[in-house]
Amino acid sequence: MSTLSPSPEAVDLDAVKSVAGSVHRAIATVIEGKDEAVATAVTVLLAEGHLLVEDVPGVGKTMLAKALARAIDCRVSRVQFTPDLLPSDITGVSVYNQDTRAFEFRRGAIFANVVVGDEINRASPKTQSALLESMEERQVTVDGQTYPLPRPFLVMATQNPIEMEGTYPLPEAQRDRFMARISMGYPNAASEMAMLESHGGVSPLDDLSPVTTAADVQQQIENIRGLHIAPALRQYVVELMAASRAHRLLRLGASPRAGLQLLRAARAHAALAARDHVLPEDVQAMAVPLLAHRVLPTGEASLAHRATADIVRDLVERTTVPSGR
Amino acid sequence: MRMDDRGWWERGLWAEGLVAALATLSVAWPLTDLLREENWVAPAVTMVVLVALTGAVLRTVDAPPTLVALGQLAVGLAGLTVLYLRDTLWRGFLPTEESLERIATLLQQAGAVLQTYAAPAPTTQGVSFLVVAVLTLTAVSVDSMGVTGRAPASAGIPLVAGFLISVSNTGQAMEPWYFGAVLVLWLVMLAQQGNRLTLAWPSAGRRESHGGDDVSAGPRTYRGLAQGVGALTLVGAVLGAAFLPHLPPTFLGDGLARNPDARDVGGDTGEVSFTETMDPAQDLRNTSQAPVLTYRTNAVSVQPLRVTATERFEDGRWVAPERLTSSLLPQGAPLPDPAGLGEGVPVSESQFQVLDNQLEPPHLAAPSPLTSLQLQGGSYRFDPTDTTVVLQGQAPRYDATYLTLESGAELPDGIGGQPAPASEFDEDVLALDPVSEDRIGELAEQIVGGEDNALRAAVLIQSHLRTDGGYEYSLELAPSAEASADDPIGGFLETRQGYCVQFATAMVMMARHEGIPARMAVGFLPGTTQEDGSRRVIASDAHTWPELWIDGLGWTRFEPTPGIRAGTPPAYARSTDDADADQSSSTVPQELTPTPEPTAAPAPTDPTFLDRLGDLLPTVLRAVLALLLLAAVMTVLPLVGRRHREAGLRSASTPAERIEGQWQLLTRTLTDLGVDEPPARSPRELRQHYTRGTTMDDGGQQALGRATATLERSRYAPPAVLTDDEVQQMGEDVRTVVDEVRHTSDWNQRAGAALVPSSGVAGVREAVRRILRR
Repeated sequence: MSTLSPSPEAVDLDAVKSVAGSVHRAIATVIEGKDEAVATAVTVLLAEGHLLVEDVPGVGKTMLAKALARAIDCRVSRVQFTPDLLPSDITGVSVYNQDTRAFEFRRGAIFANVVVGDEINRASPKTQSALLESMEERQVTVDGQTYPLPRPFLVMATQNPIEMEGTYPLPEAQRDRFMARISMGYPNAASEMAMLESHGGVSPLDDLSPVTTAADVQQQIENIRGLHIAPALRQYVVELMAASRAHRLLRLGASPRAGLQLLRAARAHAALAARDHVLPEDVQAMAVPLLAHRVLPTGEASLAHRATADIVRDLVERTTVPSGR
Repeated sequence: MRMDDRGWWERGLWAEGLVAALATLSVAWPLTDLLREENWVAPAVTMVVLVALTGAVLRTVDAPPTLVALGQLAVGLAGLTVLYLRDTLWRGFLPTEESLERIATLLQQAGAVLQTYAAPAPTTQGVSFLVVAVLTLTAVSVDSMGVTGRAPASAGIPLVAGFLISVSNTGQAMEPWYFGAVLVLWLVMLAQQGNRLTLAWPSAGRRESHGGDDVSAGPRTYRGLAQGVGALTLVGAVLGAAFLPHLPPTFLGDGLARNPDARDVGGDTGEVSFTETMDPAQDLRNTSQAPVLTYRTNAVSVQPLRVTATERFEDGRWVAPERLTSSLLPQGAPLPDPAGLGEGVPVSESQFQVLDNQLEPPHLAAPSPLTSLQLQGGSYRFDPTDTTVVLQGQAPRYDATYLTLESGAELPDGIGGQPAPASEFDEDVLALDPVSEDRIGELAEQIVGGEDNALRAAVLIQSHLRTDGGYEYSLELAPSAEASADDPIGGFLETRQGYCVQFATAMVMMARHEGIPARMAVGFLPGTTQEDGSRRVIASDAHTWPELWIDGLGWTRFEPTPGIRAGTPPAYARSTDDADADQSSSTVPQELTPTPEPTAAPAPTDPTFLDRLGDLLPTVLRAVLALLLLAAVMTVLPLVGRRHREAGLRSASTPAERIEGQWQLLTRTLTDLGVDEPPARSPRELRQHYTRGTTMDDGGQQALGRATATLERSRYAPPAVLTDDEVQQMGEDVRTVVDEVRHTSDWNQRAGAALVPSSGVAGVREAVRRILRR
């Protein structure tokens, strides 16, 4: 399947694969048995998206975020979101410099390649908005001055679905800004055993050294942009989106932005398999992490405890794959 | 198809061919009971073995199935020619006109033997030819269906057909092992096929490679299951045979068990049923030659043998009389003189001696009117109301004397002149059937006119039915347009078609309408003369006739039934124009025996076979035309189907389009072969779909994998990456997959895909839609 025919603007897919593979392996030394979540995280990184990790405490959300950040030799910042966190703590603030007699911009936490936002739902909506706006625009504007954010730029926010008191859960519309949502889930018994053994002494994070550079990752991101997407696949994505809007168990379907991001993620997914074109399977693989947090179930579906992930899976199964003719 | 990796033994299916040949021979095994000499066995075995060998050899060299069957047929024909027609051949190898005539002669000879002889029959050259020819054909069809066509289940059909012919031409039940042999061999054929199928599965090797732990698949598991099913089938067959009611054996000509009439007819005892139903229809169809009665008589003109009579006609049929024991004359009492026989009527007494009586008591067959009766064994009582003897216990032999009118003697004047004294008869003998009363009356008035004399009136009625009315003798009643189902007399008078019961009933009713007391007598025709001078009566000699009370003669027999299965009318009841119908009783019997349908084989001499063929030519031509038309109609769907399957390929210009066309060819061909239509999914899912839905070996799987990979690249990869080689490879892979699937699907599916492909139906539908849109 992976036999490739040479094409004029051939992209260096092996480089993509090796970079992604080494990042994946590095994270896997820290996070036991969560290949799927790690793969999604790497895919999102290469697809220039942002990641929302949602799960109960203690399953390694922050660990995943930190490991990903540590595996790349780049600027990393970590923000612990609290109710008293101010927008300027995120974006930065202009300070009057007595010496130069001019306002000087002090960059906030967001000026990094990888931003780890812990418990994003504990911050006030205003602060959240500041983060989300810069995520989308990849730049910060303070006092009329625009400061671009470094590339690659990845925000990994974690969110805790329980202990909701005194929190400001991300509104549905805001969640759309995250390319994908993953949940870690509990490790299986073997992984947990291995974890207890290896984490007994020092944190495995300490042993993790960067396996690639920010520039390298950025290069791969550029590479991936050149991947071929057949018209049939665009049609497939459009049909998936339309189906999500018509699905009887969904109150809110996927947005056009979701479709756009789905294609981007599918491209990254294909590139990770060192394939120079995207297949329906790539779209299908990314559909659940990409769509499940964007759609809203109807009351009926909620009552039936139908998880949106299930509904999206159903959607994928029912939507026919256009053959391109 | 990649067959070269298999050995010649496997490729030629030699083992399967051997079992098929054995099964064919086992079908012929019962014939050893039916035919006297065994001279047919050696040619039969030779032919069957020859056919099996030809098939195996042709399969070994990878000949297509049609060619294998044709080759077998050719070898079979050649073998038959050499065995039976050698001396008619031109220069020893070309059949001539004489050969055809020889075939006709042989077949006619066989037909004559089969008609005349009860089992075991002498095995003449003709019988031997017929048996060997049928067996050769059976061998060819069993081999081409069960072995070449890989559908042993269907091969059961020719086997059963051959077996039925073997077993259904004897009156006796066959020994169970004849059936057992066929059954076991057929099951072995099924098992061989099943085993080969499971061995072809991709999972067949799993058990070996996983060291015996994997019990989920592998042919061994299925072999066990198949053995279980086979054993259950055998047990079921034995139990079924033990518990199902056994029907008396019937003949192929009787329609076997399909003919409800044939079911009650005792095949080998000559048992008769009309004494209960008062309708001999079933007995008339009985082909058994077993004697019911063997007797001698010294009478010049033999009389029908009367068994009983009835007066009651209810709901369109005659009802057997009920006899009160109190009204019967006891054993030993002298038989009363015939009632109503006038003075001066010239009668003489005749002897009647029964040598062998197989008729079930209480019935006794004898001419009427009886004057004395001596039984050897059993006892009898006598019912004077209808002069019937009621037998008690078996009477294997008996002697009787009876009165006959002297032949040629003039009857005294005034016979029949007086009306019947109403007081002496109960109302039953004058009762009319209310449903047909009007129709009967109308016809009776028309026939009899002003005739007052009962005898002359009766003769008029008899002549009408027998000769003048245009009635036709037939065991099959024609459907009547006007008369309702409960009015058989009306129906008979309208269609003018029936057998003795209808004629007799019509005469009884018309006589009653004219005021003549009448009743219906049942019994037998006089039977056939044997070589030793005795006469033999068989079940199909059953007969019914009317008895009318004529003043001066008493109860008198008439014969309104025309044709071969009727008696001669009595001398007193003959009109002048009926005189030519007078047949001396010694010539009648030959015609009385039921003659089976004439065989298709024409006489060897004048007219010759070719002359007949010339007569048949228009019919043959028409049949050939019809066959051609049928063939043309039958080719429409396959042709349209092919066009529909290749539609995409035909309109393709770019490599991508050609690949899509190939894929369409694949999906539509597989749909024809009964594989579910693929869902609109990605190529990888399509591959899974076909992997699940078909059985293919590794080569097929790989070809499918390559085909789906190419399809995937053609659909989703950047354009212009497909080379011509890939397109060509796709075509080869599609052919491989189709061949593989066709190879593993069963015979019915392949036949269906060839003759009535669903793609053909789809193509026709599409064409119709296109026309409608226009």
